[in-house]
Amino acid sequence: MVANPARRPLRSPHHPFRQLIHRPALVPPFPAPTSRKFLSRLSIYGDFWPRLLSLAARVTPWFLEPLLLALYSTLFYLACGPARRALLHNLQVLFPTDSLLIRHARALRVIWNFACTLTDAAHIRANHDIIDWEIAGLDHLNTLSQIPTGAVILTAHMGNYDLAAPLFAARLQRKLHLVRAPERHQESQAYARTQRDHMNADWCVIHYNEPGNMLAVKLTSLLKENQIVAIQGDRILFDVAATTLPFSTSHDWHLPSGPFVLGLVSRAPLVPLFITRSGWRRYRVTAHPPYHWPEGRLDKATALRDAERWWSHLLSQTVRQHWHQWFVFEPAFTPTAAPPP
Amino acid sequence: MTPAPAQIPPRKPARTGLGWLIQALAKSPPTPPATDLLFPASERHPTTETLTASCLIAAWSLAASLILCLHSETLPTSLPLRCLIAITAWLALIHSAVILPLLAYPLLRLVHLTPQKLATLTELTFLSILTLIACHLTTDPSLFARSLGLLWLTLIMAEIMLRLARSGIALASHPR
Repeated sequence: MVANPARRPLRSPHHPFRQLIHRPALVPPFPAPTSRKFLSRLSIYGDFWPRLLSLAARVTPWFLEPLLLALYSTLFYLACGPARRALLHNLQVLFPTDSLLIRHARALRVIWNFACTLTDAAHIRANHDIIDWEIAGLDHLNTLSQIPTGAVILTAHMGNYDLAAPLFAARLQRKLHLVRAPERHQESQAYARTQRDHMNADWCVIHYNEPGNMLAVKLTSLLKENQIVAIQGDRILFDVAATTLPFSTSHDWHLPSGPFVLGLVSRAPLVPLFITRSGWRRYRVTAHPPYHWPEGRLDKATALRDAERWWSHLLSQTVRQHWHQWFVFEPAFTPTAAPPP
Repeated sequence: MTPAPAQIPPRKPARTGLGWLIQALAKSPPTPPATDLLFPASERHPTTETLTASCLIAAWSLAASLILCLHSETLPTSLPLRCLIAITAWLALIHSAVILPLLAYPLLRLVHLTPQKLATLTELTFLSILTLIACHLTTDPSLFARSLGLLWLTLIMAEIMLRLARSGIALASHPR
């Protein structure tokens, strides 16, 4: 006996009415996912804000820019609960004696600085030549240009490293491969990619640390070809391998271990470069002496640990000095584990 | 981008007439930065002037907005509500200088208006609106409101005169 399709229960996916209603290829079943997707573009990680910033940077009167920056920094500070709490947590470790009010003021200053760097980047993308660049540690930067092998530039999430990279790549006259984390939102990533592609010179290539793109293999081969790779050595985002190092007597911090493994495998020297805001539309590139791996056969675990400790010490000094420009919006510190009895 | 010796950083030209006057009167040269090399931008403006102008305009427009709302006869009598309306109106005024040009740009592009010219047009329109508000404030019975209006009119008149003087000097000293 053949079952009458019209008599199938409506809940069955084979019911003819059900098939009429559910035609995902032609008509989306409910407007909810679309509206949710639209609303997600307005979220903090969405592409609405960078697009608005890019447009506004073109037309905003110059005397309103600091005012709008202050207003929106405060607004985002109030709206972004997780980032605010992470900032307060990090600042508590950096300044344990501060009162809560002072810590909030410091955290707001970090957001203000971040807003300034984003706005400056938007201006540069609009072809406004408005940034003064200072270089400190020119000798070390010249050393980098003389290194015949590949080199790993270690940097931190400070200042405008996106904008600084093409500058010193052109100065070094060597191709620079910049590694960065993708944006968390799909549309934001697509937008950021087009913006950065438009901005970057021939000397600078951006690689995104996306899952499954075998970036470590690609970077190792680039270093073997004597090219320069720039990596952020202070943030653990997504599934980046981390190492725990002491920051103070009471706290440890987590730093990515990838740059050191990469340097060790290729024996490329590690060159620390920090980009910091030194004033209104003024940035400073500070180069430090490079770290060279010991010659000959070496104990890999010890060599790796030594390099990580060297970087941790240098980064902690820089973070303590330029705390207001350390744009790490995730909890970076954990209390030091008690030694086993 | 051409690097300049860090010891003698090129001076940033003032944007405003008042800033130009202060820069001409002030003797102290800019402090050389503790850097090895400087890459100066082609468009450079003094930080202090930018931040001072921003603070001045923000404070003046907020005060004017509060006065207008507190003295208005049409608004509700509740003081907190009037303050709230004043702050909202102030925020709307500030944002109108960004949003309206963005919305109008597709139309203005038809008359070959570049973003730079649009920014200048926006700046002049915004300052004209503030000047109209200042004119209205000078007729207010409150002494504070009149003082606020007169302060703005004095500043804007001085600014216009100084800009004209600056242009005149630049024109006169330009080699033919």
